[in-house]
Amino acid sequence: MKIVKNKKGQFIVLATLIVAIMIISIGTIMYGTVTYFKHERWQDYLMVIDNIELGSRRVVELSLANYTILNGTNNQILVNNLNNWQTNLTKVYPGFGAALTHSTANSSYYAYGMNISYSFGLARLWYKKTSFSAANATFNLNLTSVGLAGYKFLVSTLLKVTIFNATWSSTNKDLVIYLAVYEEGLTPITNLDKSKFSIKSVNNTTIPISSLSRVYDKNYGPIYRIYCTNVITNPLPVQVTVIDARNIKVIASST
Amino acid sequence: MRLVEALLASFIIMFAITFLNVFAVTPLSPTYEPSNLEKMGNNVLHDLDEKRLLGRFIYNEDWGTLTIALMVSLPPEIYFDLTVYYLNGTVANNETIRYGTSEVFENSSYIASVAYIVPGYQTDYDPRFLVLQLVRR
Repeated sequence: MKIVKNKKGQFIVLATLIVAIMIISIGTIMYGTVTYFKHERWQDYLMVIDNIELGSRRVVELSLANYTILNGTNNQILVNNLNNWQTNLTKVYPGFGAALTHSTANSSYYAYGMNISYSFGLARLWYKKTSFSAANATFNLNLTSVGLAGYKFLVSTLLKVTIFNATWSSTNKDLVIYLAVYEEGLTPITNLDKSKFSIKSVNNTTIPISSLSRVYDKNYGPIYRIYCTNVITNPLPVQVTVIDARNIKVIASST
Repeated sequence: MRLVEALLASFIIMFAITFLNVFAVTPLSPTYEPSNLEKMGNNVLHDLDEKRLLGRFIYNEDWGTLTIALMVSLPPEIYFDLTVYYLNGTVANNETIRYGTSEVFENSSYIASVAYIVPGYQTDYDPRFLVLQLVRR
């Protein structure tokens, strides 16, 4: 019986030793993890990544705006701007070792319920009832100072205009157009004012807009109602030009 | 006999805890000034840029409104000095974009500095580099 008692006592010491080893082991792992996260400036890196993402989006937007304002004459604008952006970034964040590479879409994709044929990351389909301008670029970001490599993000920009109905009344001599404007994600743009729209008749004369209002359609959601008075001759089919807050342009036709 | 073993076990646990305490990591001080100021400055510029206000103020050279926007966005105890540079390194803002006197920046023990880039405005790629300096009163 004495021997059994002694063994039980040794077991307590052994168990305590194991517990102590576990405490020290867990403590060492926690110490390593906590100090790693403490000494690395994670917030700074996240801020840099956020800024680079936003800047890249702005470059894609302004490139698409330039491409559409010049009626699609310069389809290299996005690639050129992205190459410059890549170079300029390294000057702003020298301590981070930021290296950004990009690739632009160059084939046909089915997105937002339509086929979008990109060339050098840019696409447009105008003079249709549903017309659009779009840009698409994929970025790959490395922050060499922290060993971050292969952070990918996609920037897709879209302005889509759909004309639902355009009617001219020969008795009242007025023109009413219902249309919707969407951005990427098919989010309706509802904050455009009258100056962002212009209308041309079939014989290419500009029709002044008398009033612009926002109405809610149960099928299409928030849409615009454009009203023009004193339209003497039948202007149909009309061309509606829309320029959004980013200066991206789309020309849609009522037929 | 059991008493000795129990005491020994207690000593082992105490030793383990004391050993760990040596390496204990103290929590970050809430008044960790540089990091907070830099974060604050960056957030303000990022927010203004997201709302498309930063580009509008800079490219329209509306320095007065930009100063007011920064004053409104930052807490009143934070002094700032913003310098806008062209790509070639020359200063773009012909007026000072500052809240607080120059002495505040000269006499401060720590000035937080934030770098930011605005790639362009409307349809033109024409980057501007921004350096925002911040000091807590």
